Amino acid sequence: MANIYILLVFVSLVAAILIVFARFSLLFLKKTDEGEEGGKLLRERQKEIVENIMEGLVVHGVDGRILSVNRAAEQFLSAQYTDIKGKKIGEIDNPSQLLKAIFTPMEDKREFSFSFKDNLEQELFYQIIQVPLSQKRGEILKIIRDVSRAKYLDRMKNEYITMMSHKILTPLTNIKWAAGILSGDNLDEPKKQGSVKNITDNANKLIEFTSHLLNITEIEEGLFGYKFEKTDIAELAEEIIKNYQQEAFQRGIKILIDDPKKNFYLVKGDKNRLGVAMANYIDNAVKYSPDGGTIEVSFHQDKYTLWFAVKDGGVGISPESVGSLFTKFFRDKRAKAVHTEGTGAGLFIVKNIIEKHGGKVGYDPIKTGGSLFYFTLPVYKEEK
Amino acid sequence: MAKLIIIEDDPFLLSILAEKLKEAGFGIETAIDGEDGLDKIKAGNFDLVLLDMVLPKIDGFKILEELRGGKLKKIPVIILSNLYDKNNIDKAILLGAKEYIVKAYNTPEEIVLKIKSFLNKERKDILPNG
Repeated sequence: MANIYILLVFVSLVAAILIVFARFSLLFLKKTDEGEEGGKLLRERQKEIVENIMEGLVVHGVDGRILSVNRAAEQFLSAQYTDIKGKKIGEIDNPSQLLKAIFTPMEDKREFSFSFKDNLEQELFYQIIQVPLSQKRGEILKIIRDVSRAKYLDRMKNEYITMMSHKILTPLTNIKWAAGILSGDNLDEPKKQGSVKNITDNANKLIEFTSHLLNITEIEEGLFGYKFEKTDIAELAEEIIKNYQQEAFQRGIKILIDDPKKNFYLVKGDKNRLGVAMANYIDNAVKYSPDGGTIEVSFHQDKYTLWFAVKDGGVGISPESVGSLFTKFFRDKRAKAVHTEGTGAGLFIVKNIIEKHGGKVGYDPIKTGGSLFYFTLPVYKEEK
Repeated sequence: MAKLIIIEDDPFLLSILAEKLKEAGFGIETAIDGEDGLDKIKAGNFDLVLLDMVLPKIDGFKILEELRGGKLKKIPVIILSNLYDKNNIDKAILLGAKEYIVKAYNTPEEIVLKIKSFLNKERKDILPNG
């Protein structure tokens, strides 16, 4: 009995050990499977990253033979991997400028910049970074980054600073020189009056300029406040136009306002802000109209939308500038040729005000010369 | 008497400069935009051009290019501008401008002195008497 008892215990023990072992083996096997599975997944993921990354990646050997390129590199280099695989630069038919550039000897430099003009005469800028991959295999990774956009923004920033300083310096020169006259001897009354007026006018120019800049900052930071109320657009237009009648009269310009029916063209809007938008359109029309010209202000309305338009017979807009008209600080060359001093902020401010009201801004060229600027606004609806 | 033309679109700055230069004994012609300025340079016989860069119709750079290419390239040009970044100054000098004076940094009297000094170096014979 004792033997049977010992045998039973022994068998149970062996069985338990086997079960435990089997259990661990399964765990181990599962782990291995997971490891392989995970490794595969990781490799796939890495491959996808390499293929979808914005930077161009090229791996070549020390002998210069191309071993691997990703999708971005194929685009940058204007070459398919299958056509350049295993080849040196000298063995590739018609290599692009950038492809030649990445094989420029870099010696100890880690990176360098390269630029060239494309077929459309547009200058493109690239940064090429060299990373040694494996010393054993002697492979080198070249990373190609398109920095054209960054360079463009940099240039815009510099042009912007130059433009801003010019716009500030010109009124300041006026003030400085006028003050010089006032402090001089033999000052007659007209000269004194002229100098004082010049100081005032130029100080006002600087104030207006600063206010435009602040408006832009407020717009961009979402701080431009609005107070929406029932607003009569025709009435508002008449008020705004009054401010321009004197200047227009002096230059023989007629401002015609087409049937400004009262209490008809109604919107829910901020009266002051909409006034700023209208004033910008009318100010431009007066500024760029020839002496003796005509400006037409008109309204139109259907069930949902109101249109406000200002038409002038002025210099018009260069066709290539139409798409950029409402962007910040943009000034068309024709406008610059008539008035050198403009902030380029006006139409950007108009666009922001109108869009805040749920409307749209637009421009139509006039075939006979001149411009038509318009904006739309949702028609006023009584709240129930 | 040296004959100068000032091409400047700011009427106030133009009138002060013209007055100060006349007082200094120069013969002065003026133009308020680039197109008028270029026509007057071509028509007149000037010893010196005082040129603003930011001008209506034709800007200062275009005028420099026009002058450099034509038979008027010997007329010296001094830039009077408030564009004072290095790129624009270099560009103007490369296009043949002899000097670059930033208006805001100078009084009209200082500008007159600089013009006298320039002409003194260039051509002593055309300086006004006295």
